[in-house]
Amino acid sequence: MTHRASGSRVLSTGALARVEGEGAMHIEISDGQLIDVQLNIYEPPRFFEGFLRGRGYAEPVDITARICGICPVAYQLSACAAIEDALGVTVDGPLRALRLLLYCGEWIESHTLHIHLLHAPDFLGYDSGIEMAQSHRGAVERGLEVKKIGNEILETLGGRAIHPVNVKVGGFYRVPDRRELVPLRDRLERGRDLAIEVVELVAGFDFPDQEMAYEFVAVDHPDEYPVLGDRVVSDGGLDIEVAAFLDHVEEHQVEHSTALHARLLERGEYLVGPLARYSLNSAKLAPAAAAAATAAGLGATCRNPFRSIVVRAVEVVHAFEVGIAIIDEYEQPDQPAVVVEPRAGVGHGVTEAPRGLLYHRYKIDDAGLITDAVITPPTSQNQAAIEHDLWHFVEEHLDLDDDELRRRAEVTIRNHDPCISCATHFLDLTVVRS
Amino acid sequence: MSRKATLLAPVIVVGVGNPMRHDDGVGPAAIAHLKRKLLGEHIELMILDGEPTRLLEAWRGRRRAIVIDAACKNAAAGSIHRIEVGADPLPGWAVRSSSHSAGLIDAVNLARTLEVLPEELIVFGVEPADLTLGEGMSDEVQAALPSLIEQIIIEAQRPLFQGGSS
Repeated sequence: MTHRASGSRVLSTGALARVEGEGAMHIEISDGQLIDVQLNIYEPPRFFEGFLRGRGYAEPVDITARICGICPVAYQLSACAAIEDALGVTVDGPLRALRLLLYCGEWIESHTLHIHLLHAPDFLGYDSGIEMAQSHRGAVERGLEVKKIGNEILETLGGRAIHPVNVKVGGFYRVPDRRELVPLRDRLERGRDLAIEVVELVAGFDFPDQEMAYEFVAVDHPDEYPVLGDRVVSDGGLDIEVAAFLDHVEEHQVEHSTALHARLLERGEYLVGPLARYSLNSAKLAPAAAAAATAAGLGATCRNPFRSIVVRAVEVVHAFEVGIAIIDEYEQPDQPAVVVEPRAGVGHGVTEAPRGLLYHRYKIDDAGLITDAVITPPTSQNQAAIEHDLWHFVEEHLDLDDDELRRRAEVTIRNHDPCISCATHFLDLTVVRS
Repeated sequence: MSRKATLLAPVIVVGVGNPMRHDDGVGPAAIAHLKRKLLGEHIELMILDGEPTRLLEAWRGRRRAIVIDAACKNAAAGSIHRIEVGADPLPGWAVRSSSHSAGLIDAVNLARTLEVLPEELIVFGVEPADLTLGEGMSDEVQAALPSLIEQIIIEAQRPLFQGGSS
């Protein structure tokens, strides 16, 4: 929609398609100079932080799962990590492995949705995944099958397809026996083979040359490509325990967004998500994923946001490999959960949501009630970096007409798979030229 | 896969929505009510969030799919809108409600493209009074539930067309 008034041009779209959510983007150009780029997202986690106060320590696991339909496991397991930290509980062995397996299902589902229906159309020249499906039916059907296998992990371990109900502080309400996981293992092998084909597909896309100087931040684990962990590291020298997260990361309000932005106190904006995880941990990928990455032309690090689609596809292969290994080594634990007793304390937890590091902090009183909650989702942390990417892109492409500028600005945003309900609720794009 | 396929109920009723957004929870609430009824093994009940590929997978292989969602047509809160999805596009008002606002339209279009749209797809949209964040449905939507449940049961139990493809 284009309006002309008072010699300036205002151009806006409806909800930005193919982003997992909605938000607003405002670009302002004056006398041929870019003067402003703003990403405005609406952020339910702020509501949930208030909503959680006064609730019992066991409740955030199910309540925060409602923040996002795409990454409920991330919210559940960051909440578990933080509350278990506060209560002095350690969950390890097969219970931790099952949590990791559940999380693999979520990575597979989320990444595969983004790759096939949201991001691939940008590279293949289609306006939507549906339009792409008309000409690339086999690729879309393959993507749907991969995603469905991810969903089968959630159904097997989480109890149902959305908002899993089987996760609790200390472990699970019920754990599977070995026999229940055998059919799932066969499906994961099928999924891995299909996922390798997906890497081959996306590696063949035509990517613009663009290397960004992000500071990459991710959860750290000494032996594992990060999903669960208790340290946070960056390639700029950050190396902290999760308890120190808010000593180094400052959340701050900006006038144009209802979501908090985040910055490293020492150095400013940073990026979380697949590019960060990969660049900090590519040496820890499972063999099939590492081989797929090499075959796709990825080096040890990746700073090109357009190639994040390849990194996501590699992470899907990795998630299948991890899942298969977990099932192979699984021994049913004696109890489905560690015994948890309420006590007063403060707990911090991080996990790697599909879109990046998700931090939770809870203060709990003697009666086990939540007195304070802080939730820092990945898309909020990435807002400043996404704005930076947009500034960089728009400044170099001011000569494009508004339609093309809008289309390619949307691609720049989609590179980072900003999440609908995690951090955004509407996304209108406005370009003002005066 | 094949084990599941042989057990697939020919009719599925899907409640779409998020109970943490007040009246957006009408779909899941309807499913909770329906679970207390004896509807027969040929009818499966499911709660989804409206993400299009999950809807598509829920519909795949079914003869009839019934979807319940909040739907803003600027009618009185609690009004029930019934749409039979045919060859024409879904009206925009049918689906501008939940957090995945375009989910149902995308799901229909994708399912049609991939030729997995059920023979019959019926959408019940309930006009919401409140879609802000928070628990509990409005009085108007609560009051609409008995009639909604009755209409869904009639729709779900109506005989399937003879000579269907599956």
